Amino acid sequence: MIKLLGASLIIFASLKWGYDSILMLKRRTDLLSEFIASLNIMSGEICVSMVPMSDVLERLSVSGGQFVRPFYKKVLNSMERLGAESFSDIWKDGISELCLLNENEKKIILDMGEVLGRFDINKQGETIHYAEIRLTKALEDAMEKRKSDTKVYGAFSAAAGLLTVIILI
Amino acid sequence: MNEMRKEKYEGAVRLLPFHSRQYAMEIDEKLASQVEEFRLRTGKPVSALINGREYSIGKDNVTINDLNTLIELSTGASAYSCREQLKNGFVTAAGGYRIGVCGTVARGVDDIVGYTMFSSANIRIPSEISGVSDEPLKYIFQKGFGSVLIVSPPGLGKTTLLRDMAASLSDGRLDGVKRRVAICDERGELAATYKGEAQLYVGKCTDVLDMCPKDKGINMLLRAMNPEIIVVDEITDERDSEAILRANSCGVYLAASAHGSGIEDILRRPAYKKLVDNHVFSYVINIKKESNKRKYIVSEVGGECLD
Repeated sequence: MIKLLGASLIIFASLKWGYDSILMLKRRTDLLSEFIASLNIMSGEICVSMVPMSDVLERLSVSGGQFVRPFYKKVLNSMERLGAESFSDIWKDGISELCLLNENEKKIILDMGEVLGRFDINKQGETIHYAEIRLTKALEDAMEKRKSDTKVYGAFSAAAGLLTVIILI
Repeated sequence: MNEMRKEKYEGAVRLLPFHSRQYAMEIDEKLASQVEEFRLRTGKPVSALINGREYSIGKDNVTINDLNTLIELSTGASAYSCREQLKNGFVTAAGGYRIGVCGTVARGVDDIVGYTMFSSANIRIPSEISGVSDEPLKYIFQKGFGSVLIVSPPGLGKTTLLRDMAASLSDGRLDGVKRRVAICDERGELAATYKGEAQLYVGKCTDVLDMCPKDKGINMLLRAMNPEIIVVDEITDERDSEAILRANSCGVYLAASAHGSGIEDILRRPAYKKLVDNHVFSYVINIKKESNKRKYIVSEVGGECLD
């Protein structure tokens, strides 16, 4: 009975690891697509309506996707440090909320923060659009990776659990 | 230094580069109360404008980065949303501070599109002196209310007087009668509107049309807001005069200001001569500075004068 319980626990833990890994892949793609959608809103607010940055951040921190909201919220809350810190530093600081992204994707968002809020409206639009293109490419890669890795993680977690149980028995 | 002035001064210091803030806070309080502007020029230390003269603050030189930070801070990292203001060479920050900028201009096909680089800036500390218009207005009420033109050379307080006059008439401070006052604030100096809210007190019954050219703005106010008094700062050209004439013919009183040494100086310019010839203004207030004190001389156009 104890052996059966142990085996079930091992298989469950192994499957849970597989499930978490698959969930991580899903969350990463969700975050990327939410971020791209938020850039779309940001572009309209800044380039067409010329809405002040704090209002744009407020809107995105409330109505943005669930994975991007913490990022915009952190940047918005840090806006009171403006003057002691530059906006690009505040933006950079907020990126810590996007831990599911890889270094390359974080760099795309970081680069964008160097230009956001400046005078030239065309440059704002170009920068947001460029980031959108680069993140869309990153999203495509992430989708590919998710597709292939989901099967691998699923099969591997089940096999690893069974194999451990067999070895231990 | 009174509390309000102190608050305004400290607010201006917070806009300065980090390296100069401490020095600005260490200035003697009496001297600090007289600071009209801070001036920032790349490669030079920050200076304070006191009674028309500049005095350096601190030792560190201002950098381009400091100027970019100033614009970022005063626009809340939204310089793009202040594009129209910046194209005219200034931006209004929270608290009513007017940041004038200078640098390399970027030109489009037929207009200035902005700046490629900033080289200097000034932070003008707004001055709100409640009651400064009481004496001139008392005289005007005594004689019979009419439109007023304030004339003085730059820096003597035309805008401060005009703002207090707007607040006084709007609140009915002297006679208890609240009047609908509309301000056409083309350069954002009278009310210093920031995010839709006047940063300087202009009265409870005052509507502010911000950043709108005076000739168009006066017509818009006439059509939309049904004002009793229209307030405009610095009439400059014939189009402004035409709009003022139209407003006057609609039975609206005007309170306006103009650069000049006196009424004789004003009459030499066609834009003003037309207004005086058409009896638009009943009173002219001339501001003069004598032994560091401002003096308001109210003259009835074509009549007597109160010194």
